[in-house]
Amino acid sequence: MDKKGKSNVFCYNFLGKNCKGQILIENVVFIILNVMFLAILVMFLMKQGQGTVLLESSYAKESALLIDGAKPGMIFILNMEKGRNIAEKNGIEFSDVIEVGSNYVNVKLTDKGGYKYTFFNDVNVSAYPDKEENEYNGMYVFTISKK
Amino acid sequence: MKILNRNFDFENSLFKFGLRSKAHPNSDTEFSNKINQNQNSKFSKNKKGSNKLISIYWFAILVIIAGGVVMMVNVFYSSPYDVREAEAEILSAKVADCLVKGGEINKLLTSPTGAFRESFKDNFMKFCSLNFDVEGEFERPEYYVEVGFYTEGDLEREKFKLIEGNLNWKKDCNFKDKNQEKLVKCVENDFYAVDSTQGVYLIKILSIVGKSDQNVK
Repeated sequence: MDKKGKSNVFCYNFLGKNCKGQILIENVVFIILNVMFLAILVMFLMKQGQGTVLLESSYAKESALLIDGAKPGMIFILNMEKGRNIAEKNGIEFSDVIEVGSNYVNVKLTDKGGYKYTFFNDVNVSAYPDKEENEYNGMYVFTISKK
Repeated sequence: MKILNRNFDFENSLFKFGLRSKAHPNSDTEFSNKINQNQNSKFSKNKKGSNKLISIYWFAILVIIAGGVVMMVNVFYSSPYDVREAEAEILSAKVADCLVKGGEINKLLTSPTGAFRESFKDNFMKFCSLNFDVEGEFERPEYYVEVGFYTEGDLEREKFKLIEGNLNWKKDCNFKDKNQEKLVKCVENDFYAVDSTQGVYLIKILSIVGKSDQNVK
């Protein structure tokens, strides 16, 4: 009795009213819509994680903190491969992505203003993209020197 | 019979709102058997309709779940990374490195007799290569740093004090409220050092970073 009841529930909810192994067009559409729903949800989550604004702010803060903790004579390399892909998609030259001012870093991955973050270390900073065989490899080089 | 009809209406409404599926009425009680008989006679023509009804509820649940996920993701990604504590720690470490070298207080700060040089106060930012400048005319510095030198005998009153940055941040540090974190991030460090005459000092460094616009939602 219980088993029959359970199988009835399964048949009713997933296979259709008769439960004779017939695949109904309605059920196929139902399953396709469910799969589409899940796919859209996953795509949304993946896209959110790679947001331009989020990347701009994280690169700007990361480089500002590295500069704050640096001493004259130091060189550090920042991996910005994701940023390079987004900048190229948005038509921004990779060499223009990072701008370092007297006490700020500005990261620009779109043609809008970019994201600016200040640092307190009074040093000279020069930033340039690294190249391998005349092509950008997604790394940015920061050199620190005394003012 | 009247009561049975009422119960039937209740079952019917449960079924309509998707709270009871067609397979469930298979219970052992006499009451439900009677209902089943009634349902078989009433619903046999509307099975397709009830199927669609269940699908609508299923999609309503999916929409609610999707809404929840979108809302949670937005809340998570719209709040920026808060790096102020790391920044304040770096500032504190940088000031400590500047004032003390190898456990001994910087020669630029004290004279050979052990007295503190007042001129160091004026050039503190330059000596320690700090830059708290801001771009806008009406903008205030986002940093504050305070260093106190205490002798072993008197840990209440500092013998020498260095202050730089936006003094307004200091009172926000002591603000006792759950929203205090949204105002500033304060880091306090202390350590011992000796001067050129081997006098021992307790050095307390308070470093504060504002920047709440960029680090707090």
